[in-house]
Amino acid sequence: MLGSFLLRAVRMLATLFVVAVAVFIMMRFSGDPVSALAGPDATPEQVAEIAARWGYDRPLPEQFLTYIADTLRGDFGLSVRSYEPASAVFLERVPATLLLGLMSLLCAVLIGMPLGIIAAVNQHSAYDRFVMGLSVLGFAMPNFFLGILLILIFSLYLHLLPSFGSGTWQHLVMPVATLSLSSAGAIARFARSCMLDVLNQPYVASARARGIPGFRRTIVHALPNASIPIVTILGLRFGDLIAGAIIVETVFAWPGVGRLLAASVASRDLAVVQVIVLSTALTMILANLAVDLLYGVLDPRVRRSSR
Amino acid sequence: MNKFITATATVVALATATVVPVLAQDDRPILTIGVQSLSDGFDPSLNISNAGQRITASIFDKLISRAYWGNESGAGAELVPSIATAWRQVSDTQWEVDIRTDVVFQDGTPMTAEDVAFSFGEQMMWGPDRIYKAGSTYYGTFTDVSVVDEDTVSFTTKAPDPIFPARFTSPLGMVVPKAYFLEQGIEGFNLKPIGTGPYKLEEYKPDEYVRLVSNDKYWGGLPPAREIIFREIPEEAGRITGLLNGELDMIVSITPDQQAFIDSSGVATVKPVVIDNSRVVALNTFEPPMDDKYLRQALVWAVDREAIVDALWGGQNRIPHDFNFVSHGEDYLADRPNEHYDLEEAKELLAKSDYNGEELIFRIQGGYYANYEQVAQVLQQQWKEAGINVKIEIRDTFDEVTAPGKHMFAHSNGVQIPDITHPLVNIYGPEGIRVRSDAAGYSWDPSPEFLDLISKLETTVDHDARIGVYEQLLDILDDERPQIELFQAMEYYGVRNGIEWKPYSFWPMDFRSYNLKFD
Amino acid sequence: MKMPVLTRIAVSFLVLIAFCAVFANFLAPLDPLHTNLLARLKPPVFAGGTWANWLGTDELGRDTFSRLLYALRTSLLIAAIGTAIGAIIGTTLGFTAAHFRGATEQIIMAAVDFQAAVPFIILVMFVLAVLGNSMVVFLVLIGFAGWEVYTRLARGLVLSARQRNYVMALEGLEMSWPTIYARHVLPNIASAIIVQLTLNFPATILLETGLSFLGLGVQPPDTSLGLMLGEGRNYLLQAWWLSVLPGLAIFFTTLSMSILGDWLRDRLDPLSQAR
Repeated sequence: MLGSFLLRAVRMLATLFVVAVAVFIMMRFSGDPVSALAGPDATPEQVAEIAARWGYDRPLPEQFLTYIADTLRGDFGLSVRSYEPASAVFLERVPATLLLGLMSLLCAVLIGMPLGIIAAVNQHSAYDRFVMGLSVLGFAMPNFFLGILLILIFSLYLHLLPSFGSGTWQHLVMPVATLSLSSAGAIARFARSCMLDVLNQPYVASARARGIPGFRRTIVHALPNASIPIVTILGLRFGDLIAGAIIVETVFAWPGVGRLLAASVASRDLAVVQVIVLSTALTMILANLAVDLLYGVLDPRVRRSSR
Repeated sequence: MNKFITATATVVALATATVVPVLAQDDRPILTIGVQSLSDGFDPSLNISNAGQRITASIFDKLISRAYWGNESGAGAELVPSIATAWRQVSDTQWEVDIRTDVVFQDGTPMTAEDVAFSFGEQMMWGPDRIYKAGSTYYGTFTDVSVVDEDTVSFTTKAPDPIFPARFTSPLGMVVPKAYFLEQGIEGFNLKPIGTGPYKLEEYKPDEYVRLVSNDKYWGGLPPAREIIFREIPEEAGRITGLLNGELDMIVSITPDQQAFIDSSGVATVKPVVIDNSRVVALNTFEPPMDDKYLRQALVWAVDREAIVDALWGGQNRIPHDFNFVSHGEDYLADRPNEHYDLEEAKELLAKSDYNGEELIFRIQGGYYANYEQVAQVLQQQWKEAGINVKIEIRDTFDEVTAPGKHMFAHSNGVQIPDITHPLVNIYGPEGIRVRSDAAGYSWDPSPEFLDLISKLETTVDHDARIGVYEQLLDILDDERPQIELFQAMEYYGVRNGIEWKPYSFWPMDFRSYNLKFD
Repeated sequence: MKMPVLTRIAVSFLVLIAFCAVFANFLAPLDPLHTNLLARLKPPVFAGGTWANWLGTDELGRDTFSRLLYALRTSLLIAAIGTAIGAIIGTTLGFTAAHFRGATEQIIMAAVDFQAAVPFIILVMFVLAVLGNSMVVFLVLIGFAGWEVYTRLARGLVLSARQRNYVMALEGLEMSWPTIYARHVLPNIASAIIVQLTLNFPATILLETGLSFLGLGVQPPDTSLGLMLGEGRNYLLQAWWLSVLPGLAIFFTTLSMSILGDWLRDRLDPLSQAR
């Protein structure tokens, strides 16, 4: 167990290193940061000025070594947009995105799981059909379209909610609704399917034969086993929420990491992109690790085999 | 009882009398503006995009102002005093500028002639190691800037400079505090700017908002808004909803098709303004078959600009007229012929050319110029009718747009100085951004004759002779066709009813007391 | 093979749109690129328009119906190829990892970690910027979206299946591993993978939609359902059909896929058959 954990940790660090190298290579080969900063109407002097100021005039290998050395020291450099340490720029935005992301994940689970489980228990009923139609609707609605639709309905016509920004719970309603709806749809679908798998297992049938009541059968016997694949998908949906944040934060002018990332990539702000990508990568790796550990806890068979 | 009331009233009246300025200050509204993007900094000479200029215009003052407000379309070209009170030519190559002595920077330090001389001096604008590389575009003709006395600054130019005072109306014409600038350095100043303008930068949250507060000691009178907040709202639907919901007082960058909807709301009105910047297709004369003059001419005649402008801007936009802009004031040559759509002419020219149906690559930087991508798709169809096969490629950065292989690319010609030399010299002069071989937009080599005329244009003082040279230059361009001018940039501002404010024909938004009133 | 009515409708719809997509060039009444500035934003025939453009026109006066057909072609092609690449590569790698364990598994899972660790949108931004945004690059890129989900899913399911009695029994019978996987394990875990597939196919359409919103998807003058929806969003108040029609196409495609997926799941799952 300890050995496999160490192996896991080494792999984690290796992944992070590969991500850091990949960020540099991709940022440098995906267009000249100087021209991105200067824009089309700049004179060559303005371009040279920007290049010299940020060290983009030095040879690439030198830039790369400096970058790696600084990264290892935990120094991510200054943002070319704000001249502040990239990590500070990033950290300032984290709470907003975390709030949005966690609230959305929570809502998605609270809505999606029960709907899916009840649908599975009542397979082929009208309720089942309705929930599945609803989940497809949530899933098939592009984030930005739903967001704009909500703005037009709840802000423009009904004057119920503020149309942009953050600060109060009212500001949170539409972005969270937008982000969680598609996730809730996917979770409901997946929960239903996993639950059906388990409900059809012999041991559930035997529980039924032993006269254990339906509700108890579902919750105590079926749910723990059905939750294994559901947990896997949850970990992966976390990444979707981050990607979705880029779009939803743009639509609702929500001051989070997603917009920072989009703006930083557009202006080739290497330092900030690097901090965001590395932090996201770390979070995702940890989330996946957590999922794997949960997997082991929830499924005794895997626990046994990895021992 | 009555006595008491009277006494109280008297006390209140007395108190009010002394406190009036403070109370008035509190009564002034906060102006919230929804913008599509914010600039990354506020140094006026570094942030010259629309996102930058609309904010820096309130923080800084120009040495000499252009009275945009002077005509109906917000494109007045008259030069008026600002920090400078008067200017005069003392010899062929020397000018003296008188400056105000009652101006105080937002940090409380008085503005001096020293600050003015520094702002436009060798170190900042025109020396070989100048801080603003772009400064040479506007002040490259200077050889000396020095303080004469506490309210006079003297400028010396290499050759007679007929447009000397107009140079200060460019985006690089702001007066900055010398000591503070040197102490902060270029990066520090960019984020914590101090100017002489009516509003002071108080708070900046990248991608979120910029908050300016009133500079109550502004030399030009008390600013009408207590605070101005620029809020970044990238989605148009969000900005429009915010405006109609009363969350925003003003919004920028609305598409023309939304005008009727906003106007019909009864809450806000759209104010469109034609900007001193024409959107063009730069033709890359180096990439065969574009080296063929007849092909370039055919491309021009095949474009129905009137149809495009009528349909996409409801006729509110103007068709550009060579390098000849309404902003050139009295020098605008309204009678000069402007090319028009003539499919037959285009086909004839095409027959004269060596063009054989090759696919021409037309590159555009995605999302950079408003409406450009739509127009390009119409152009593609119009060229197809003339028998020219054009492929549109949308790219992320200007670097990718100008990478080898393009036959034409999206570009613009902006008037930075209200004089006929601009933007002609910036674009096609010897140092122009489509002529210098080290510029990304390098796409045409003008003849020596053309370059001679350019230098004549820059130094000729006699008005009529100047116009003559100018027309000769335009004639050469009309024959050579290194570009196709498509449409003028337009800005559609949404303004809440009850706010009186006039948009200008360039990116600065002016919130000084003469241009902003609340009902 | 008995099919419920709902499934029949879903399958018919999928066949219909596939037909429309394949024969778009024959079915489209007008050139989807032809602009007509005098006929901008004309409504569909059921909203007061004319039969000349029975689903209306867009902001450049192009025929919405013709553009919808071509958009369908682009989007379905992207979704089909993208899903297929991801599912095949991903599932194969998942089986490989679960079978060989050890170093092979570590390397595959490290690749999964990398893919899962970097938000896909960032990857797309960079790759498109490096290679330029052509349809081929875009298709391959979309194929790489989500392969790691299949790998994780397949690996987990195979690991779990290998502990089950029937696989142990087959192993005892000295049946070869490829045979055991292909004949016995794959069908048993297929339900989860098929559900993932039916989620992934529309997810791919939606990924393309999101990328179009950010300006990274299919580029004009080509079009796709996502691009139409993205461009139409600014006209929701004036010309709802520009966004609602491609939106409905996306919705019904997704719904039909999921109905089909459910039915397939029931068919392929031996336990639910026995019921």
